Amino acid sequence: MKELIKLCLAAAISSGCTYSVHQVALGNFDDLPPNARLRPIEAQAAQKVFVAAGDTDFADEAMRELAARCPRGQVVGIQARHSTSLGFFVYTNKLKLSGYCVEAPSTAAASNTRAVVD
Amino acid sequence: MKTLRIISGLGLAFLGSLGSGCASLQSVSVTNIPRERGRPVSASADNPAFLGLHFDNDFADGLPDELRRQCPDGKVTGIYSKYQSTWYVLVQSREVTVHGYCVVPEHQAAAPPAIAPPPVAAPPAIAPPPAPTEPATSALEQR
Amino acid sequence: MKGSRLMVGVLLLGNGCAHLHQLQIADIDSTGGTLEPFEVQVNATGLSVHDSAEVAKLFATSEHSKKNLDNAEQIIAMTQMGPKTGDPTFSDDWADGAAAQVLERCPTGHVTGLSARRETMDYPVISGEIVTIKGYCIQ
Repeated sequence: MKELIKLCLAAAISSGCTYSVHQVALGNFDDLPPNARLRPIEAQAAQKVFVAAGDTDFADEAMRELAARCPRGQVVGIQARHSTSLGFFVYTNKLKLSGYCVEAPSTAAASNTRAVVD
Repeated sequence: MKTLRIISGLGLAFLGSLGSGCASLQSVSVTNIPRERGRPVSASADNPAFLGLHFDNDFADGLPDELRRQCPDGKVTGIYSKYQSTWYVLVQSREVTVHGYCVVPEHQAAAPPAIAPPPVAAPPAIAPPPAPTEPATSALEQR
Repeated sequence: MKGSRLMVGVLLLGNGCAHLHQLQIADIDSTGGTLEPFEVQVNATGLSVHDSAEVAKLFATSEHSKKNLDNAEQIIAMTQMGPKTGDPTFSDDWADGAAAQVLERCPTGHVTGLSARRETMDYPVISGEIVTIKGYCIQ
């Protein structure tokens, strides 16, 4: 019985330490204007779930937030990471979207077509 | 009495779950989001099956055509596609939802978005700006 | 008996099992210049509680110990509830640097034909949770 209690305590303390990454998707960088400045942006949304989830609206929220972080530019190279923080009856679904906001290219443009990451 | 309350509570929770279902996100993808976002387009498809027994995977094949129908005169880009699965007790529904933006090239921007433009001669294309000739200024930098 | 357990352990450790969870392929643009292929890989070690318990039970000397291991496995499994792909890892940001590594491999910043593969190399007890990104750098 004492061993069982110790095990339960150890399990409760260690819950929330494990994760599962389900998917990583990455978009292209192939239509950048010359000498574009790439500003890293990211957005993340999470959904705490008790046993079972009712919807997947957290993904839509992350998408809206990412677009809002670059309201006047183009967003390229979007990486989408879908993961879950596992836990004791409660787990957290997460969607993290990161990308690069392309502002207007520099006026001191060049024959060099390298992009610049801020 | 206590047992009756517990059973009633579980029963209500079960009935509540019938309405909302048990949803799980299967996959998400996003393509490059354009600067011009004035014309959003969207489409969705679903595929319910008893006991989750699906016999084909072509339920979402019509989505690209639907997006093209909503954007006949431009390019559909910034496509956010979400594939989710929802269990309603004994029925599993697979759903694909797609949102994007219709970007119309500048020389066609005057056409009304919801109505197909009448057949007229296309205006002359705007010449691209001359290539810059100044020397290189910077290499790829990291934060 | 001990020799057979050791043999089972060696045989198990020598084998792996590959699982493909997700494959995504983006547009490939060959019109922008010469395409130079590259590959980036990020990974983390996953831990299977079930495999750990099974291996521990191989070396258990009494039924009481085996029962305790079963109980421990069930309790720990209850703390890892949620959808899983591959085995659980101890962080979820191990794949976050993939996009930055892609830009490092391609100094021009013009990348096309990106494909992303999420896979698991399964071994007893541990597993390799891997994301492999391949693409072409437009020269």
